[in-house]
Amino acid sequence: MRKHIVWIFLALLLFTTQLVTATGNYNRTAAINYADQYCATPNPAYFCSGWNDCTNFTSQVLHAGGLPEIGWWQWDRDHWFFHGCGWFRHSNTWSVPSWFDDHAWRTSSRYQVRSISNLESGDVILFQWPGASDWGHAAVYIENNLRSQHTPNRCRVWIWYNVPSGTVVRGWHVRW
Amino acid sequence: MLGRKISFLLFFAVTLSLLGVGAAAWNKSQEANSIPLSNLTAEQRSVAQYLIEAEWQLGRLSLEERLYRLSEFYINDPRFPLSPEQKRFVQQMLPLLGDTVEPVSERWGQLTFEQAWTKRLIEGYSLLQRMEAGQVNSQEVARMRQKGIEPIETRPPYQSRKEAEELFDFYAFEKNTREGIVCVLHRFGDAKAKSCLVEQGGHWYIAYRKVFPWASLPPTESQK
Repeated sequence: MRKHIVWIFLALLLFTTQLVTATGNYNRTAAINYADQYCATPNPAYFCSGWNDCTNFTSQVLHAGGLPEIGWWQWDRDHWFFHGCGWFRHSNTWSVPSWFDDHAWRTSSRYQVRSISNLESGDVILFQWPGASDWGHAAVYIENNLRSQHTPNRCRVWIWYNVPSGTVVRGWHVRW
Repeated sequence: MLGRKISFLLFFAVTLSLLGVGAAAWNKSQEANSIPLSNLTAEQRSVAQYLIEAEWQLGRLSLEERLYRLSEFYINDPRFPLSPEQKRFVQQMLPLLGDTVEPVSERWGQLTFEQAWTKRLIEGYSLLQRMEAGQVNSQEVARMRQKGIEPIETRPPYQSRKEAEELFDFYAFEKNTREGIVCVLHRFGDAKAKSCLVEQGGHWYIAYRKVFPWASLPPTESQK
């Protein structure tokens, strides 16, 4: 009996340590290289729809920077993954801006709210259009006040290019 | 039996291809591009110019200044009541708005909504700054979020009218002559919007605006 308890304790300890130490160095150069490579033309391996690709593209950039996928379950805010385009093959947090925002709030080991002026290359910017009830767009921040994005596809444009007044913006700094 | 199967497959294939052709044609018609300003009627042009001017005049101001000048461009029109969701939002912001807004909720319209939205931006930015200065902890932020105040910011004021002009392409105009309303479908930066304007005393006012994500509406030439 005592042996079992020791094993359970050890397993729990290992699991907790894994959670706590599951951090790495986000490679911003790799992230930006990916963004530059695929901002104009989507990566066919991730191309699901040309209509709503902004958050999918942003997630790809984060992943290219070394941020590992989390879990497998589509319908919650804790998981973040892409295994393909079909139903249940990628999480909503991967491809929907409002879900990504919720996910970022819940994974403070990875993300931190920051003002745009304090973002670093490879961080995420979310946009909520004037009067909209939820986040409607995502893009990747690139140094010197530039952004790259999909839908519409834009590479290294001025961060406020084509952003109407009254648009709500949130910067998510990757601190992983 | 085999013949029936083949006929069914043929029927299915023909139906699919017809649907495809139809969809392509529909998309093509929607790709009607933006209408060049020079092709607009005088009234359409004045509406288009007004939308650009309103965006420029308000967008070049600080948020605090904007809050007090919104009534020059937006109006509460009973023909465009707020949605229940918008009303809930205004209600949430009400304690922060003081006597800036119309107190009777039945009279709330686009103007009241814009005032609440601008106040949200002011308070949200203040929270973001306090967060970054380490003046609020995560519990406080969570409390504020429950009250509808989130750490957010918005773009800096426009430096030139051109910045506002670049946001717009005009796709369609619809006029209700009897009621004096003109509704416009237009690009709004990297989003699209439907704006309805009413004329009062020889002056246009925005009485309704709904902004859609880029992908919500059919593609246009500029998107391709």
